[in-house]
Amino acid sequence: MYIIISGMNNLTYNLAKKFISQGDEVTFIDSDEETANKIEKTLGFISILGNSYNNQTQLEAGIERAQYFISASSNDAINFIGAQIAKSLNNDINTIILLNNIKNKEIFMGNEFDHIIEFDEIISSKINAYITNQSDINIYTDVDNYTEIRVIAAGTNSEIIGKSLKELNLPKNSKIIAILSSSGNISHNFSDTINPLDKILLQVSINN
Amino acid sequence: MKISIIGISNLTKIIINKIENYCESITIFSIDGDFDFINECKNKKNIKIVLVQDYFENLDSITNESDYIFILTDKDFNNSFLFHKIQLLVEQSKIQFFIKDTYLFDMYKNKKYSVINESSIEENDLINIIRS
Repeated sequence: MYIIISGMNNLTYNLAKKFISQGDEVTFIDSDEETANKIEKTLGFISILGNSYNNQTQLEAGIERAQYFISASSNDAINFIGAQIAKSLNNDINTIILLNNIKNKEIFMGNEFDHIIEFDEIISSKINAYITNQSDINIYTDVDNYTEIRVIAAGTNSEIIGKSLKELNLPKNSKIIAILSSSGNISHNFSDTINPLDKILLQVSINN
Repeated sequence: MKISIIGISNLTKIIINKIENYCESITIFSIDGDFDFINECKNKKNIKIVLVQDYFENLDSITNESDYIFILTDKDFNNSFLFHKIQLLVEQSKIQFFIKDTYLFDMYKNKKYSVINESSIEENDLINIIRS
């Protein structure tokens, strides 16, 4: 399969790595030359420098022969227009949009895109896939930025249940990203107490 | 007629010149302070400039206070996205959006969207809109 990805970030980097290991061909479109060079050194494939909202850039990337266009920048407006152009240049292409802001979902739903994925949904499903009975695991390391994403799972009878986040002995230099409930709800209200089966998502600095 | 304009671009200035004498009021919402343009508008009684942090957070006030909306920022992707958002709130016949890129312009024209650029704008059409 030939896959074009608009937007270079940790998520799309890991995705591309998987595609390549499965034998797929991947091209990135992004205007950040530094990240493009870094990614090329690691993955060894071609990135097109430019913007996905330019039809010439998409043509240069080979949009006409691609099976998938993944619109995954951090800007919903760019993801939207990039996918519209991809569809107009290749009617058979499958468009996958990463939705950054849930408030924009209605616009994406009413248009011709094939798959719309919420960023929070990716995080929670990824975590749910990883976590079984482990209480504290590292799910991702960002070597470039010296950070780890860790998850602490409360389980059913952990001593952290009933405590607030302030009362927990969290790793040093950690920042709480969200609390995920067993029903899939994502909370950013860090004054809540921990319930059974909650999972605490943390970003931990590993510098020094 | 009350007109709202989102963004200050070259086309904003062209449209203002063409319509200012025919409108009850024109409110321009802008993120960027184009101070030369703001100074030019200061003495015009029917033109008001509102500086905002984010267009998307102000869509309700932009749409509630206007009979017709022009989306004229200098970024095509913002104009397109704003158009798609606003058409959920206001009927499409009351919105026009600016697209500079010729491929995108034709793409939206083929979809029968109310898209404009500097070469397509006709003074008579604008005046007809305002008088309708």
